[in-house]
Amino acid sequence: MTKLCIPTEGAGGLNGLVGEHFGRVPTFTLVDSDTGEVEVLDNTSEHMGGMGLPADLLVRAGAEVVLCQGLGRRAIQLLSEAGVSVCTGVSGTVAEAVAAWKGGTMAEAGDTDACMRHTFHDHG
Amino acid sequence: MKIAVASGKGGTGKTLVAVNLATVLAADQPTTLLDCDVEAPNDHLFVRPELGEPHVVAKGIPIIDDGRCTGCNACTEACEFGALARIGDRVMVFDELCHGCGRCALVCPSDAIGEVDHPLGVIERGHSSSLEFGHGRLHIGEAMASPIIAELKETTPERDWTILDAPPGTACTVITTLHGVDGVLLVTEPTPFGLHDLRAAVGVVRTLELPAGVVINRDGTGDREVETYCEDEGLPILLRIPFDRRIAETGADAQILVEALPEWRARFVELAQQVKELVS
Amino acid sequence: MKRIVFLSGKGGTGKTTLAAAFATRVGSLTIVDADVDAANLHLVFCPEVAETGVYVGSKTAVRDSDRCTSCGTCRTTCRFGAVDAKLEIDPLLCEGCGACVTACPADALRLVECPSGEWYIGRAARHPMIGAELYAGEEVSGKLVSVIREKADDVAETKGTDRIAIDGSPGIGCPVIASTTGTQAAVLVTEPSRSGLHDLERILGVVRHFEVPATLIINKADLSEPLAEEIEAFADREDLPVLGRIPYDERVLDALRVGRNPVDDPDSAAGRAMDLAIARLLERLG
Repeated sequence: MTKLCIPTEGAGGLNGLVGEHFGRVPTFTLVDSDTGEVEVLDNTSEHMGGMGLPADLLVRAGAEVVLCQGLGRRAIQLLSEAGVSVCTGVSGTVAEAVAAWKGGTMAEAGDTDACMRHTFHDHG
Repeated sequence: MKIAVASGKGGTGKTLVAVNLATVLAADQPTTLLDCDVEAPNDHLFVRPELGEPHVVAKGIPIIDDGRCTGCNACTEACEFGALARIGDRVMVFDELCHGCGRCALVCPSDAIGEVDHPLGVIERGHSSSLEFGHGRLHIGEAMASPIIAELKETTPERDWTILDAPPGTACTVITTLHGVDGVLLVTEPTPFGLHDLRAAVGVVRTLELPAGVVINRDGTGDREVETYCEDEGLPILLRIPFDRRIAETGADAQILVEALPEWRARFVELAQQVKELVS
Repeated sequence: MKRIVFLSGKGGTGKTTLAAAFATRVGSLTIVDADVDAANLHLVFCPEVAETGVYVGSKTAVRDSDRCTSCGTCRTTCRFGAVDAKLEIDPLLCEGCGACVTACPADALRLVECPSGEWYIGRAARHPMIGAELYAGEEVSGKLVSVIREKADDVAETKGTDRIAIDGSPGIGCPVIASTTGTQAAVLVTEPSRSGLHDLERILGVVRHFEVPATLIINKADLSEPLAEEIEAFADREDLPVLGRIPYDERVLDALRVGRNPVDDPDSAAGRAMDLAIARLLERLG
């Protein structure tokens, strides 16, 4: 059982769309890879400072793998510190993302795969 | 006396002026040349000093004792640079963002923050005949140059003359270099880029209330705008170096001009004299 | 989205000139002047500015002399030497960390925001252009560079330009790193001198550290044939493709002085060489 987490554009559950900007999406959708159980979290995170960051929100929610389009370098570092794997370049619906992950074709992102939009001092 | 050689714009000839001025001064008086452009230090290529052991310059960054940390978030809130962030149960430190200020350790109520050295770069010293030399070198991938410049200056013994080759621009690395000097030589070129950046450099020099003189490099290739500006600002033009292929070529090969083209020695001796008058 | 950054290590090699030349030869492009310490690209392009804003980069500590008991704790706490013997705070040295604010037993210190520079969004040479200038003495952090790069990304997306050209700053520190991360190509501009080669090695180290593919242009190439060859040999050993050699040409300065782009001068040998190098760059970018 792996708890997958996908930043999403709304509360559409498995039909929801993978969000564009990791830290600024309205919701995060958590999916249990075995049972398919879905939980939607409101994105109550902060961007600035050192507390309540998006990565922290996800870690507290128990995310083990994050599937997203892209994210900032700091977010990758934070998630990696907490032992959470990240796969980037993901798009489409949540259901499609989960299926693709299960298919084993996704590559885990490293520090240098940080989303182009988020440069050195990103707070996300 | 401490004289900084600065310039708003990069590539105008700071190193040319600093190295040659220091060389002629060293002939008569105890002189040190400090290359403060620690991101791209070049003076050593010209002076070719025998360098001693590198001395590591580090900043103190926090290390969190997870056992003592109560998760109060005082540190993550206090850090002005976002270098500390909470992730789950832990606080993570972002080395590259940390300024080494020590505030987090001060705010921690649980005595959970210690300090560990994070190397930024090195300082190296040496000499070449009678000229004493020092420079700093920022490690590749590190972001903060100022602490290396500060330490280089602080740990250099005072001598009759200290010539400081500043980094280009007008940002904090330049301020750190110029702090506490007795006079500044601003090196410029007669182009729109040169003039634009000279204005910024003059602004800094005025704020620091330092006597300044100007050296125009590649003189004769451009327009008269830089000269007019200097006249308007009451900045003495202490030396003009014309564009000369031989100067460019000897520079390209990192030769010291006053040694490669001895006719230039007299010009730099004259500059040294002007500099003495500037700071007296 | 392809982001191309122009870097040099050593100042004065002609980075801005090459970036400007590139910009005039490419159709769909957003231009970023990221040399925020000594911004020069706007002198070549004279952009029409549509929007500006003040950038607050840092803070500075301010003392309330009514509360202050002159205990001097601030001076011993400050690691940057910003508090002098008279307990006056030098805003040029103050890093705005707030350690003194925390340490002060009389609650006599606070941090105030410092306007540190200005950014603009505008248009030049048919391209959207974004740039900024730091006020003198401000911290040369990459934050301002990151701010304008984010704006540039937004503008590029809105205007539908598929490329962004970034004129970086000299050196290898924070603003250079902020200009380099997340780009898809780095064009290193060097000159055939020992200093040029030395600093090329350092900037190449940075670019490789951040895993950005790099290419090289040797500017003012006829300055020294032996050094130009040494640089080419270095490039060969390092698997760094050379896009071309640009001869020194006074016409480049002449054109820049009257606000004209040197690439537009048909009689300029340098202009022609730049064109060729740019064509090779565009081939690589695909």
